[in-house]
Amino acid sequence: MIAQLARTTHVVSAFWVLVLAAIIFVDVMGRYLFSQPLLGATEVIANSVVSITFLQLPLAIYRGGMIRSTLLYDAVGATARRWLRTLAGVLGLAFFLGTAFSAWGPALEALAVSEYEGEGALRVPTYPVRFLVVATSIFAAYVYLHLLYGDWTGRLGPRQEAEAGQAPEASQASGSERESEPGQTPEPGQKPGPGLRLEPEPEPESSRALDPEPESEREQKPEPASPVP
Amino acid sequence: MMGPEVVFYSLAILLVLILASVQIGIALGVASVIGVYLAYGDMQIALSILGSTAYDAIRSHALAVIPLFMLMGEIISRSGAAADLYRLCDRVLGRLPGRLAAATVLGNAAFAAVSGVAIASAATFSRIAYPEMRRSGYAKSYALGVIAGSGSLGMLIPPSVLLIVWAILTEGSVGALFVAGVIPGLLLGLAFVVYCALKAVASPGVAPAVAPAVVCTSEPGGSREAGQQGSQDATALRRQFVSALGIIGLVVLVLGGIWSGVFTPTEAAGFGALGSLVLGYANDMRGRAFMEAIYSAGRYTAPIMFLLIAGSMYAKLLAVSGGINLIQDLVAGAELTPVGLIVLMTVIWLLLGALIDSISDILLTVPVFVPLAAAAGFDPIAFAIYGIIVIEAGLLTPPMGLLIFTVKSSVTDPDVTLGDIFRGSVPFWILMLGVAALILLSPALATWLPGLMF
Repeated sequence: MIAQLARTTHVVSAFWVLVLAAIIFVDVMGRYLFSQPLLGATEVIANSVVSITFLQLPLAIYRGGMIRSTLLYDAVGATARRWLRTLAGVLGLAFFLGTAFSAWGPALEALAVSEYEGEGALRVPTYPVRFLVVATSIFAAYVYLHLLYGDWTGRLGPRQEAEAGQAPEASQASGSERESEPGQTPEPGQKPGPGLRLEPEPEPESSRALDPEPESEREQKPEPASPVP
Repeated sequence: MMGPEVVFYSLAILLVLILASVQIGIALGVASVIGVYLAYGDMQIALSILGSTAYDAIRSHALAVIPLFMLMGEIISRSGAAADLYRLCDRVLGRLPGRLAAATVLGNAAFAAVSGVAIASAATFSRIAYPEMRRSGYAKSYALGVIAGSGSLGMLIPPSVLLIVWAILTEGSVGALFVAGVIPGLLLGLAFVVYCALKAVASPGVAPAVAPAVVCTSEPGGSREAGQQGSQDATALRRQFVSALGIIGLVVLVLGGIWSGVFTPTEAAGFGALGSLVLGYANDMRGRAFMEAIYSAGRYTAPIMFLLIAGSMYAKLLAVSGGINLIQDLVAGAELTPVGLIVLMTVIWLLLGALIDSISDILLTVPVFVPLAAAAGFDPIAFAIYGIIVIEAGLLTPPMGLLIFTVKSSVTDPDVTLGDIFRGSVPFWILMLGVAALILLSPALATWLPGLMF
């Protein structure tokens, strides 16, 4: 459930980027061809950046996409790793609860006084994005809680374990090491952590269909040298 | 209540948290909140930095360039254009010694001009170029080094996420920094090509001469009929030209648009993203492939943007606590010469680069370093390019150089060790620091082109 919701907000946000490109196209074309820019494009784009980011955060946290350094993490044993994950999870939880808490007041205020931005006839209200930040921060905090709970109870779904084992290094972002095992729990009797990390569990076919982009398939383009004649 | 020295406590907390493998963005945010709390003794004020920064820090028209350029880069890298470019460069270079290595550098440079991140290039070329070079008898660490080293061109040749982040942090012009990166990027690429060729001449063992066009096909030992091979070669060549023309077109659209003042960087990014759809379509991408590209581009945007939010929290802490002034006074008190200052910064960058990623590196250091450099009389644009090259060199520095690990995980050859890659990339590391130093010595390399803008 949580994964599906996170994926849904992510997809909305990913396509929103394409919409942004279209808005920019219309704005620029309108300006150069008809001397008529798109009203409010600047404000909409600025607010979209915030919305896009926050809508994508829950999935990034869930899948361990947030950037971190693994120098120490890689050097310690399974028990210490779990404690390090716990520290990171508790701080992440606190961070997003604090963000939601401190963004709530200004959001209410913005709604009450009809805070807006923009010039002239166009007024873009600020409360939708403010409330979006609150809502997605609560969601992000919940994702951390979920991962912490899973880490200590061993109740990770197959989906999550598959994600947890994916090799992180080939990721494209300019970031440093990406978490490969959010909330991964080496249950008693299971293989210890390091082994799991190197041997990604095969993704179940069903989750493959849901998620168009398993890490292992990234950038494996068809070799262009041999097109079918 | 504490004075500016609070900045040292929060810095210590930050480093401990980062070492404890807390996500860097979370670590920045937590350290900032604790720092503000120590400075003001009021939890309400300390927490308010979270909500207000989350809303304000990235709510900017200019920052839309990041998701848009990520989308463009993702679509292009999935269109197969990188492999096409590599093979075309290989054809063009003819009989140059170390041709396959030089083609890797050139392919990287061209790919960099439409993609914002270094890791993408390194991963892509590990898969495309490494098998070709090995098959042609190139030495392992020579082949690996050129892939890891030339991956760094992605961060210098615009559009580059690092240039954007640097410009936003220093409230400079994204367009100007983009344009400033062009000549240093080409210079670095040229230096790499010259090194590859000289090395191949000096020790032919590492890079034996290969007959031209051997690499046009990627099937090992393919024994096809001559006629079929000829027609396949023609198809491949046509495809390579389509890709090359598309990429040149995008570069002209995006960089030309910014340089000539027709587009703001955000508008150029929007047009670039739409243009990449066209290029992808021309390279036979269809519905599902586009969906996947759009989906996965998003996966790499949020972590970067989140780092920016957290980095602004830390910058706020530095400002409100007076920490920046304190550090500046300390440095001024040390009476460093400008050269001493640069050496100190360079060492810090390289050390941090071995520990954290380059965006975090910029977020941590730039708010402090840029005012110091300005006070010491360095040109801000040349200093930015210098800093970015050095930070990229940090990605090749043991023990944690990220590009090294990317190459290691993308190369399928199990015999490759991290040591091979590190050894091979040492010459590139030296060349990068050399070009960086050259830019400080003659800042015009970076400032001349932006000076001609608009």
